[in-house]
Amino acid sequence: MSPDVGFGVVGGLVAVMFVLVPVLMVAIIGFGIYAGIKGYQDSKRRAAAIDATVAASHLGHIAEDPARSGYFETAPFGIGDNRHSRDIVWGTLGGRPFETFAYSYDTDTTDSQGRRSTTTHSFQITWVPLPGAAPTMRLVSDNALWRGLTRLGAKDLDVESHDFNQRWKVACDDERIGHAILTPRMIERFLQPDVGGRMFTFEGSALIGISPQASDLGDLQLVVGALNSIVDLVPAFVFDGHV
Amino acid sequence: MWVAIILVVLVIVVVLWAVGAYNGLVKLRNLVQEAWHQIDTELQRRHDLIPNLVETVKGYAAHERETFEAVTQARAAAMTTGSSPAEQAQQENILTQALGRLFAVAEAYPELKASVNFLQLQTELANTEDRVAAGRRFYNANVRELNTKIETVPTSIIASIFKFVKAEYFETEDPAARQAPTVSF
Repeated sequence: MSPDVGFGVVGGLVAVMFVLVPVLMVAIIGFGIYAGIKGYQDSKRRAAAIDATVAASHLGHIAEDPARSGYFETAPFGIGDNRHSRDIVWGTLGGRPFETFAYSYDTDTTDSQGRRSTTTHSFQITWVPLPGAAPTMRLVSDNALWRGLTRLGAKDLDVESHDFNQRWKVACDDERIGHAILTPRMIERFLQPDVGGRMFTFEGSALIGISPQASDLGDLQLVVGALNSIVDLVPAFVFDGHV
Repeated sequence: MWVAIILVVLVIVVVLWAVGAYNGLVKLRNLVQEAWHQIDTELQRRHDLIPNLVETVKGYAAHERETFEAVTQARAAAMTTGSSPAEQAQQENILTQALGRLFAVAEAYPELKASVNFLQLQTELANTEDRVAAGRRFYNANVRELNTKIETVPTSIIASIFKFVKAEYFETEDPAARQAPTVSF
């Protein structure tokens, strides 16, 4: 390769860089502005949808309450930093009480080159009261999203239904209670499509439904209905405290 | 020299695994026995409720003697000690059928159906049957785990050396088929 040709290639590359870099910068800034505007619009739309639901069903609503982040102990509570509970909505639907709120926390990760990045994990928490206290039991829809976000730690409870065992991972403090709650009708309920992709936790005197991402409460009736239908299928003796 | 060391390490690993597998099987066998005792306690509770239930129905339908006798006989058979889970399940199914006939009799007597005592006993019986069903599911889950370990390689080797035997399942009719009615006044 002659020196002239070499100079020509380098010169060409420099010229391309002079064009490409500004174009890339503009594209990145443009994308950032677009993401910011979209995020703002989405959050405005979500706030309007929540206000409409609150007004239509005569529900209570507060924008933020730090105390809610410490209401429960099991995942996703008690994980990460910068925990927030926003858009707390409560009241009754179908004559039965419930509460729902958007919950988020941050986790930090450091890559092999020492670069630190923060990820925000968001959930919609909806809970209904139980007739009495029950030992902690968690049912996690067996999909990649939840597998990544949760660590069951305990042994997975297997029941008679292969379908159920494939779709749900169950961890509980007391296996006897687990089998008491997972009656054939309860198993059938958990095989219906409306409960798929979520996580359910029996903790203290509450049944908590956890969905990925904060919701605009468009599915509130459905979620509260599903939670109450699960509560109704729990045998009464489970709450007696002596199974 | 190296061969000897590798062999010793291998033997240690195999012995440790065998001890772990044996202990796991013993633990499961004990869990199955414990779960069975739990069912036994709930069945006893169920059997104890029946005389009161029969007496209450007798107060309103004294001439249904055959039905009462069938329930009493089925209860006595179910209370026989030393039955295997399969035998016990068969006797419990006969008792469940006899109780079903007793409740069918009660349907013909509106005063009996409205009796607070009868309703209480019926609810308590349904509650106890829920407990039996929960105990049965827990027991069967442990039996399934024990039997799977006994049948699958490599734990089957330890199971056959130490003569672990498969446990029997306890299969009864679903008590939820007969539910206590909800009464509103």
